[in-house]
Amino acid sequence: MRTKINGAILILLGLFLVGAPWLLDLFGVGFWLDILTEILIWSLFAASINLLFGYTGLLSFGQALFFGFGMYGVAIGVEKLGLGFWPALGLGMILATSMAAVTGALAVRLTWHYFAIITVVFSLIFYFVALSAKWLTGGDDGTPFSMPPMFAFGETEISMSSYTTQYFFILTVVALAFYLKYRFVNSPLGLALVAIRENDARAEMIGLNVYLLRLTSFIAAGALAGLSGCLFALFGRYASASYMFYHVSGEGVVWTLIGGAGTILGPVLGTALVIVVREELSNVWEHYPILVGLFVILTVVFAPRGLMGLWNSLMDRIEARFDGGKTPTPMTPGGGKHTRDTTLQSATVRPELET
Amino acid sequence: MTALMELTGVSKHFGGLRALDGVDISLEPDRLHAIIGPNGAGKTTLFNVITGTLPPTSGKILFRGTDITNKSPHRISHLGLARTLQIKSVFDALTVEDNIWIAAATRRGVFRPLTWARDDQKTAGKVEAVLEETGLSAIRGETAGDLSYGDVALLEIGIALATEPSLLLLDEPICGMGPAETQSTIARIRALSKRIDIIIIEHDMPAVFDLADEITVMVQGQVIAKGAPDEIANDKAVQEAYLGNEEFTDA
Repeated sequence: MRTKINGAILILLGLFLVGAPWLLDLFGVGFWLDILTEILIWSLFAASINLLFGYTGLLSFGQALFFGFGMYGVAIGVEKLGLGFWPALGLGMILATSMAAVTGALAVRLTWHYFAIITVVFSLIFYFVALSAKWLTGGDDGTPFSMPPMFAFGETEISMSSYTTQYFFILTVVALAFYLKYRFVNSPLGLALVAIRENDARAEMIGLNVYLLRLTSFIAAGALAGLSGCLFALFGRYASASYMFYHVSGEGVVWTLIGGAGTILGPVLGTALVIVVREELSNVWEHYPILVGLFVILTVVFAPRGLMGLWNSLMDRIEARFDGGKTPTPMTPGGGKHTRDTTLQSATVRPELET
Repeated sequence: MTALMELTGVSKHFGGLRALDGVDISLEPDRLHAIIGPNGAGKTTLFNVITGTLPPTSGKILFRGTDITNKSPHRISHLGLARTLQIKSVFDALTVEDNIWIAAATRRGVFRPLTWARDDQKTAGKVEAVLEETGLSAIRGETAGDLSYGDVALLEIGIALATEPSLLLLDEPICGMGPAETQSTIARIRALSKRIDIIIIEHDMPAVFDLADEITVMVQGQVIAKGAPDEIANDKAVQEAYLGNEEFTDA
């Protein structure tokens, strides 16, 4: 039942994403393609926070650092080093990932608020470094660049200057990254991370190298954030230190919490929702973030697993009703906790149930 | 013959408190060892120091001849040493099956990011064997956080066994169990002891005297006696340490 419903939704989502350039035109809202592209990129950023928080139990408020390094890698690569499209993308990824390895080696020695604080500190340090290193980053003005072609065969060039090409390139990369993350969290390594999230002391005792595993997760998350930064630089044709500021990291945390940490598609949902709200409301009411804030509070208090958690418990109930209670019923003593935990569990260990 | 566990002058101080005060023990393999002593004697601290959870203040620890002093817990685990905890500690959000799965998977290594966990047949086979051995099969799908205290205690043992230990440290394994559960768990522990070495900390004296081949008595961070159950029962020093303690006179 659940598998069928979720599968149908996934197929519809896939069809919509593939057909979006034409569908949006058809309804006369072609400019939404840009917003959709932005949602795709930022949902990858939220996925980075989710890998750390939802699957490893480390709440980072500094993922913008790696986003920024990805951005600058691409922009500086193209503008200052004269690199082509792919080498610039590679440079962004290498910079972001190695930065994650270096900061992670120190940060994952800590947990909880100490971890959160050190991640903020790292991103602040490099935010100010990026601002002051004008010769390299352009300081406040950022680094604009002109888009190099993706492929050139003699006279024919494929480049992101075509909106449709740009959209499909970004869609492909984001989809691929999400597929990799899906495999990652459902691998033995992903389950080891969940075990660490649940009980790090016990995880160490059964023979898991907790430090190394947390570092691995941190580097993988840094690579995801870096990739979203690379894509965002290509999308906006520039890099700017303002995207390294910690409020960007905070926004990512908000998207993840609203959508549902510890689920693959939760962060996508959260990102989409908040960005659509922003697009619809920011022109009408400049204080719209109040509404987002209120929504975060409601989510954290009443739906700790986010919207995806609500969806999963709804599916639990439907299944309990139609399949004769094959799934654990959420009405056991301590019901709230139980419901939350099962949805979380199904999200991580039973891949076929994931949405 | 190499000793199963050999501690020389092991101390653990917490500020001014000497939780372990120069402990010298040599335990032989192929026996079921019990460690008893009044509350605060340092029994759990001893387990913590052996498994690397706490570094000793001084002293040396050999496990089957290998120096494990100051080694990290995950390394010690891979040498074949597993433990259960007095304050039960499992992976609450995971099912019983997945709790055991992750413990079993550590023996094959978990750095396999691009393979599906559910395709790992070897680990799945191990999980089945452990579920069978511990009698947890019936509740395999339940979330660990929802289990009764006795079932969590069994799951503790299951997690430890899944790491394929050659030595199992049990810290009050039957504490909080009902009489029927206690009996079946004691029977399970006895059956296990034919296959692997076991050191057990337990306050339930009838259970200890029933199970153990050899008993080590600790008082205030020191070992005061070691011997067969009947020797311990008649030991003057032990009787003094336990004077007026009903637990012991019951035995």
